[in-house]
Parts: sequence; C-alpha cells; structure tokens
Amino acid sequence: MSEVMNLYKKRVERVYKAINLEQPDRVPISSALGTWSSYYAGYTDSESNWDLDKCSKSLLKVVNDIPMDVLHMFYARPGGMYQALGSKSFHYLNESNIVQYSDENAEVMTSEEYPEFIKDPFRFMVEKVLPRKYAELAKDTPAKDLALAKGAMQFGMYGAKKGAAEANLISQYGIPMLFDGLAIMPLDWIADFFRGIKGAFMDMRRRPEELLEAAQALTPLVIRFGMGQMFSTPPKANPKIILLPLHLPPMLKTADFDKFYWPMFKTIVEAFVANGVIPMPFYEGDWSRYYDHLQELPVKKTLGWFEHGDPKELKQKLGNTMCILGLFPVTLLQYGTKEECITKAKELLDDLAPGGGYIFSTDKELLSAADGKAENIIAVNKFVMEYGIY
Amino acid sequence: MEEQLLISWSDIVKEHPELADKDPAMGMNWDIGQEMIFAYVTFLALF
Repeated sequence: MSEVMNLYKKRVERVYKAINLEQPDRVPISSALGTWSSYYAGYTDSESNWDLDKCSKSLLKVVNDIPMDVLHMFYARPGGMYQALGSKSFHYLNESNIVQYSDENAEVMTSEEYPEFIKDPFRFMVEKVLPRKYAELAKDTPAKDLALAKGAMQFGMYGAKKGAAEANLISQYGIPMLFDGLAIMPLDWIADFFRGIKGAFMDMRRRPEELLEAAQALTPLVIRFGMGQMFSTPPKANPKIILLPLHLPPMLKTADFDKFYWPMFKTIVEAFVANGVIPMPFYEGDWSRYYDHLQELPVKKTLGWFEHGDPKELKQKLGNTMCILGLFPVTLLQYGTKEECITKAKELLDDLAPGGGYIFSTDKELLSAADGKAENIIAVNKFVMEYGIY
Repeated sequence: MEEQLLISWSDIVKEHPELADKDPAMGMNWDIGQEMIFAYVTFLALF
C-alpha cells in the first residue's frame, strides 16, 4: 500500500472509531472550511460556483497547507445550473461576497395551497414550485424543456466534478471527505424554501394541522432524496454519512418542536440508520433543552455536530449516545490570538476527548474570507494532533 | 388524460403490493436513472 493510501486508511479508521464511541489513536480533526477555502486559494465564492474546477483546486490547496484528518465537503454550488434555469433564489451582494439567501424569494407557496401540497408534494414541487423559483421553467414548451435539459446537464457535470475532486483528495493527499450527501428536515424545507420563515411561523398558529400534515407528507421524500445520494455515490468500505443541517428548532417553543419537528426528524434519522447510513445532524444554535430528546436517537449510529453548548454537559448527557463534534468557536479563529485559540482547544479536548467518541471541529462552517486566520487554524490543528493523542 | 410526470411510489406499489409496507427509500434498486431525475427535481425545489 502506498504511503498516501496508508494515511487515508488510518484517517478513516480514526474517524470511524470515534463514530463507534471507541478511542482511536488520537482525536480526529474534521475541517469545516467551506467557501472560506476559495478565498484562501485566491478565488471568490462566485468564481468557484461558476468554475467548479476552482473549488477543486481550493480544496487541494487547503489539504496541502492545513493539517487535518477529514474534510467536510465539495462546497461549491452549480452556478451554471441556476443560470440555465433563471433562478430567483440566490444572489450576491457584490462579486467578492458569499451567495445570499432571501426569505422573501423563498415564499413560493401560499398558505391556501397546503391541501394540494399535502395530496402530492412531489407533483406540487414540479408543477407549482419550480416555475415560481425559476423564470425559464415558467415559459412555454419547448423553452422550458430546453432549460430543464440544460440544467440537468449542468447538474450531471456538477456530480462528476464533485466525484473527481473527492478522488483527487484521496489519491494525492489521502484525505477523505466526511459527507456523501445532505438532506433537509421537512419543517425546515417548508420554512426555508416554500413558505419563508415568517410564513411558516404564521402557519404554525393559523394552520397548524395543515402544516403538520405537510411536514408528514414531505418525510418520505426527504428519505428518498437522501438515500438517492447515498446510492448514486461510489461504494465505500464504511457506512456513508449524510449531513442534516437543522435550522428552526432553537426558535421553536418546545411544545411546537414536539409536534412539528421531532417526530419527523426521528423517523428520518431512524430510516437512514436502518439503511446503513450514518446521519450527522448539525444542531444549529442552542439545543440544550432538547438533549433528553436526543438521547432517544440510535446509539453509536449518529454524529452530532454542535454549534453551542456546555461541553461537560454534552459529554455527560449525550456521550454514550452519539459521537460529538463542534463547539470550537469560529469567531476565535477570526479575532483571537494563536495562544487564545490553543487554550480553547485544550479546554474542549479536556472535556470531550476522554474515552473517545469525539471529533475535533469548529462550531460551524467557515464561509467568508474573514471567518478565520489561516495561521490560527493551522496552529490549532497542529496542537490537537499532539495534545489529542490517547 | 393527466400527464404522468414520474412513476410514483403508489404506482409501484400497485404493481408490487409486497412493497406496500416498505419505506420509499427501499426503492433504490428500481432504476438509478429515475432516481437521478428525482434527485435533480428535488434539488431544484430545495436549493
């Protein structure tokens, strides 16, 4: 086995031992460097979305310069696809900025349309959502058919570029990618992409049963969408990992979380686990009031990426249920000194590393150029590689 | 006649009633081409 492939094997073993709540040779390091990577390599986010090779080159530069065990994902969006379809969802404030989301543009479904949506959500997406989100798909045949085909070509090319980037990272540097795909929870899907967040919160009060039925109707589609990504990527020796970014729960009352979010979330997590996939929810915001819920998730079958929380409490309440990662503040990488960053990393390792079941990671993805000083990231990761030896 | 967009899960269950209690995710051995269309359309509706 070549030296690079040996490194790859060791890194993968390190990560999966932690996932199994075992103690690897040292604490693995997962790098969530996202679109920050483009700026680090001398590009902008928009350049990487238009020219996907620039995303690949950025990833190669990042893994060459920064010590780590695993990289999160191929972060670029398929800009060519959005252009072919006339997307209204995303825009840039300026050329050097990251892509922006608009809650107003997300409202592509009216509250009166819930019954139609609940009856057949996929048909509703095709017939109602897509023409409202994409100007080219609102045109008559054959213009809309041509746009859909152009978009499909770009979508296929995006998949090919993503696969090639992952293969290059492995063959040249022995660095695996953590995720094989992602899925969005039903209530987040409705709020972020169909009704807008304001609309969804109004529906929670004015049309609670319809909102609940819509979330339930979307659940099988979320599972199928996620599993489709798992089956369409090359086979791997270990279970594949699916990222589940979770958005609304910190903004919900616990009673609303119990009704509109948790049942579907638990069903989806259990479905992925039953199909041999490891879900990795990103618990955005403060989830401490939901820790008792999370204790019900399948043991040793999920990765919990946490943005906020007391590491001692997290380890005590969830350390026997799931592998924990996150909590290292990106803001410290941006504003702190090397010494302050290392002190924080030591605190986290002291609380979370004992016994294994822990992967070092930042509390969120780095996005803009200012999100982290490269020298801080390198210093912290080098420290974890030394101090994190078991 | 109503336009057929894609083969729905319910249509598949009509042909294969033994799959009625299965989760849609179990259908990944249907046809990867069909799944790619599903993924493409769903991706567009999402992001």
